[in-house]
Amino acid sequence: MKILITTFGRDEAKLNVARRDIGYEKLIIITDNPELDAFKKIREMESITGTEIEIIKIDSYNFMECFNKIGETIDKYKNHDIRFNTSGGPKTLSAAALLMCFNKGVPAYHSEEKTYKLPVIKGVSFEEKINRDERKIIKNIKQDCDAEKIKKKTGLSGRKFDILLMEMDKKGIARMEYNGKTRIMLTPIGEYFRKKM
Amino acid sequence: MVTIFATLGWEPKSVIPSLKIRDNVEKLIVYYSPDKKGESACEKLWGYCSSIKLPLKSVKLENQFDLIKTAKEIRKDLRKYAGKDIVFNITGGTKVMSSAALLACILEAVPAVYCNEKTGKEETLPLLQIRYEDFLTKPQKNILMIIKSLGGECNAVDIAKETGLRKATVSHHIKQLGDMGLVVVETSKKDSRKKSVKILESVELLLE
Repeated sequence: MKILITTFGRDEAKLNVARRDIGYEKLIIITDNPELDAFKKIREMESITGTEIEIIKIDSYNFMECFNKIGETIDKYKNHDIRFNTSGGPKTLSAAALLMCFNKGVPAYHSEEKTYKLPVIKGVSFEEKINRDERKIIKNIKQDCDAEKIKKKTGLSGRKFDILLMEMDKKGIARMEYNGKTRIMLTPIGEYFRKKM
Repeated sequence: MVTIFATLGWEPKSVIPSLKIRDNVEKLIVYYSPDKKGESACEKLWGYCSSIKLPLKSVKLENQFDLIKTAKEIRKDLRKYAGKDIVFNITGGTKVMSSAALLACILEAVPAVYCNEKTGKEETLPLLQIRYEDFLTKPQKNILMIIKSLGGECNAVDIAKETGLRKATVSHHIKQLGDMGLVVVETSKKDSRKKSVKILESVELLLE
């Protein structure tokens, strides 16, 4: 089934452009205000064709909540043909949607007066760029951790562990701090991956 | 030394936290909308930066409502700073400016930050530092480049000629690129017996 997921603020004009330009059989609207009159109108219109509508409530100004909730929604419908319009709602919601689409390889669009298709590589996710050993390390990091302890927990050899840490730093998954001991901290994307494991 | 990029709205307040929390800021580069409010915000920022003797470069965008054009413009500048310590504050400006800046950051693996409206604090956005075009294989990139160089539209035979690959191999790559949503295969307007391969305007962002 073709599912259009869209972010929504107050302005239904953008949603209408997306509804016109992007094909869908089900519409999922992510918003911080599901009580808006605009939804009654949209439901009425969509009922003509029997299109199912789902509305997901979110705190649009909490970036990480938006990011995680959008990720969960995409995962829930991963066996369907998902397309995402990222133009609605405040910038936090819109940016979270844009990042998650690239993260998960979901075709993304930005509908304003016209619809732009964004250059997402469909089906290619950022998660694929994290290898098994890096996952082992991420799993064992809790906020701020002593590198030596993590090395022991993962059972990785010293040299391999150091190379992996450098790689993770380069990829922006973790950051190192040296203050007598080396400590590893996960970045927001690293933390997101850890929560998913 | 770090260079801060930022999109600028009608007030410079969303840019300031990025300057305050960092030591050794070398330069600030801002993108602003080509209207009176954008220019006024830029003037205020000039005042602030000159008071702390921080070099400021302000870039007036051609059209703050054209997502792809804006992303291309920003990306071109980011490439000049490849390998240097940079960070992009995407809080200010129109949503299109902000989205275009984020898009450029994703493509160029530049750390992006956002100033929380409620707390006024800077938050790092969850973004991997891997250039997005590295997700494509060499032959895939090559074929996309060839389509672009042929005006954004051509057929499999043209690509086979340019690459020296067999037509069957080219067709296999085109099928893959189609599944990835990067090219569209449709009946040629010039000759209805032939199929033409097209790339979207936004896909050109992966190739520049």
